[in-house]
Amino acid sequence: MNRALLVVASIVVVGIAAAGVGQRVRSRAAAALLPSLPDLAGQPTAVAEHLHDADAQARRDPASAHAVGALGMAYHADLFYDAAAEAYQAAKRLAPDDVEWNYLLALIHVERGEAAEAAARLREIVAANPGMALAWLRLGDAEFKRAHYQEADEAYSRAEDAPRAANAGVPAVDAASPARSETIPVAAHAALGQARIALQQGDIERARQSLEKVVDETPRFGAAHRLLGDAYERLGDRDKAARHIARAAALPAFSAAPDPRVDALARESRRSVLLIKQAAASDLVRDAAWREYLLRRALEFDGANPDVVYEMGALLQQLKRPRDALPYFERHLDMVSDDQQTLVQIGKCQADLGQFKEAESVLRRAVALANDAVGEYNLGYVLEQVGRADEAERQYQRALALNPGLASAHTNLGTALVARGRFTEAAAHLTEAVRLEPGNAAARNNLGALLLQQRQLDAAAGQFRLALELNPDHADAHANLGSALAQQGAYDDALRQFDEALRIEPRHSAAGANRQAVLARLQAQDRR
Amino acid sequence: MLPKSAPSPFLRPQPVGLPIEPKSRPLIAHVTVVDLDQDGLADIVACDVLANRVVWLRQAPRGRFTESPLGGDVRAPAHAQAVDIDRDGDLDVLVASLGVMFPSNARIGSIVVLENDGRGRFSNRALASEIARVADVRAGDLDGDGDLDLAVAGFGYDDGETHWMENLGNWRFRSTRLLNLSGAINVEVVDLDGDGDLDIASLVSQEWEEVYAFVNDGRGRFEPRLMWGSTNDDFGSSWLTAIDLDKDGDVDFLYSNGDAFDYAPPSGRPWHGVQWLENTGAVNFTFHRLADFSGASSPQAVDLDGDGDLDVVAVSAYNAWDDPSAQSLVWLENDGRMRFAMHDAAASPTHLVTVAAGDLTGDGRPDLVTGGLHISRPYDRMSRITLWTNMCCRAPL
Repeated sequence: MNRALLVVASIVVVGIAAAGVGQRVRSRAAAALLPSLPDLAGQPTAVAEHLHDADAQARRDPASAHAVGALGMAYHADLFYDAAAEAYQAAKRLAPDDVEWNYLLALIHVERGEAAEAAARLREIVAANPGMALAWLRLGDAEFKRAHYQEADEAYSRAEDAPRAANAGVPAVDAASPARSETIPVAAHAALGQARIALQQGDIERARQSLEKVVDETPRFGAAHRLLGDAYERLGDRDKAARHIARAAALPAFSAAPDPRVDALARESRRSVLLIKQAAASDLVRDAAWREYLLRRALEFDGANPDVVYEMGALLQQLKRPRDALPYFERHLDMVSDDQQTLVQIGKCQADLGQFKEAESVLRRAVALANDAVGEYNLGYVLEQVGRADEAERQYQRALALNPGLASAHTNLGTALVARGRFTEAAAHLTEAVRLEPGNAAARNNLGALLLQQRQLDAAAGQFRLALELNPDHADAHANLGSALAQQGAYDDALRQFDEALRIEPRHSAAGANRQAVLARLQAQDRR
Repeated sequence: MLPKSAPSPFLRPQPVGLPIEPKSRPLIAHVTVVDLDQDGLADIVACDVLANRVVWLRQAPRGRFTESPLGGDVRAPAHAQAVDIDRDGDLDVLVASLGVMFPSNARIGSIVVLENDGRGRFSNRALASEIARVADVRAGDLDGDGDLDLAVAGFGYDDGETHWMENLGNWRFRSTRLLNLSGAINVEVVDLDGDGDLDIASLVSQEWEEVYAFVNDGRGRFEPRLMWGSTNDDFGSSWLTAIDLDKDGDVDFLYSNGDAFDYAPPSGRPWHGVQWLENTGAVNFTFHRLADFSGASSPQAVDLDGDGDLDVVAVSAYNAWDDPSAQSLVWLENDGRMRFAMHDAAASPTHLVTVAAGDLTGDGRPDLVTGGLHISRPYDRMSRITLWTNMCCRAPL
């Protein structure tokens, strides 16, 4: 090696050494910015381990924005907001151009209800990322909450206009967790925000127009139907108001805007309260798998918590999986003895499984513990199923004495009375059920069926149509509407309804039989 | 927000009223301290949801409380205000009735007056029925005609509303909607803008989480103004109390968010807490977070330590009760410069949803009364109505 080369090599070695020293200094400086590990005594083991691991990971690589930001997410997901904010700030210093950490900081302000702070941070974000629809939407919400309507309106407009692709670039989803559906798109939420501004400013017609567009494009947006109902009521159109309120009542009352970063926090979380919160906020119909995934995570991390066990049972019950739900309720009862609500749920599961004797026993135990309308109602249902009509009727009456607003008890009592030929009393109960729950398609179908039986064909058809507006896949309502139409001589329309019922439920016997009867009648007419 | 301070063991609890019946779980939604019979001794009025009754814990003689129902049944009473609504010289009780405590869109709410005959006998008089579940109702002359009108928080479920009811005389009232948002949980009737007439403030929970002012033109025409809103749609707004906290001559609000009657488990929500909405004039309010407190409810201003400024007490209905140190009663000590330090006051009984202050022992110090609402587990530290005697700090005035 010649001297020149040796000098160069020495410089390089010194340079590398100096760089190493510099990196260590930077690492130490970066490590000093990390939040101290909070006192984790008393925390669930899964949370403590999660935070220990994330902290160790970040300290191994404190100059990595990704590692430090991941620590922030761990804290955030486990509901340690102060520590999360510190870690996000540190990550932001390491990677000032990465929107991720600033956005998550903004989310902490949002969750703390700090509209002014959230708005300030979101303004920074949209200034650097003008195509980020979610940030515009959240900015609109934050400005609305401050009654800064002009700023809110502008932000909502930008959220509506942002290309959907701008939502890309969000955290990758691991294959083990179900994908989320976009139940209500960002643009619909933004339009709802603009309608709220218009309502706030007394411009009802502008709100109406905006909301009509929203429900046209996003018919499952319950909040939009409800506000539209309000707008129509204020405009004096009671019929339309009632229709939209009824539609709203049949839909989830509220759906948060889908946010992949919030979902990423849910995936990261070991904290049962956050997992259950996110599960509860997701659509039962479209995001059932996601909901179940989150609750299974909650059970994994906090399985000794009776509330978590109960939630799992309740979800499976809602998903009409009583066989799966039952063990969770039984486990909950082992944890919280004599829990009246759990006994009722066990009784419901057993009834759904056709185990009526067991269900009766457990429901009697439940109603002996406390005056509970739901327990009495379920006991009534069980007794009705085993043919003890008198006792069932008394149970339903007892349920209604405890809670006159229990629509399901009115419905069941009404249908039981129809079966016993007491039509006047039945009509009162079925009408009350519809009044209490105007968005309940089944209640409207039941009332329609009674009206049909009494040959009040127009009124019956009206109820069936409203039922179908609320639930277009209600096979019974299609079949019943077909019968009403057939009795009015509208055979072609009737056949269309029978066909629809059979499309939804191919073995629908009444639809099949009535369809044949109508066809036979048409053939007879042709022959004449 | 100041760091948390040392626990304060100077509030001594003592159950008052009827004992908890075997196998029952108390559901006291509201307590208030008032000398209902105007005999010079403070009494307690409470809303007992389990019994579907408003009850009176009459103090006579001093230190002895005897519980009896006021009037007939009231379904799921949520709030009671003692007020001479018919202006006959005695105190009646104005009651907000939910109809049922659990969420429902059914129009089963009502407004009931328990009318005092002047001899301590009360009879029910429904002022409105078959309306959205009513969480709160307050009286005040809203149209300046000399009689008492009503401001109503119709919580409902998905379809509640805030409205006011004009007193037409002869117990007839005409209702006018102010806001068609569900979840109205509290109303206050106060002069928000200092113009001499009464305005209305409404706390709207559910997914809205907003506080509205309805500014009165003096003749019962109201202009809605959004006073404050939370960006968290799960904030859990639970209580709004009007009070001039900083004693600067205008009305501020204490505001808690701690409702968790939605998804389980209810415990440990770090966004729950107690706030002061400071009136900065022209119906503008500045938000100050005073304390983080899971399940926070019913914040009340009271000079608990007798140092001349107003402190804050608050209770929790939904804390992490599996942790025996989780607090159900705290007080926030005012350092005199509107900075507040939270002190633990009690971890048992649990599930306290309502607190009221008043000198119940006659020693010049404000005491507290709480109510237990046990709708979720655990059920091992239950209470109905508890009197907390204040043993703090200075000699009685």
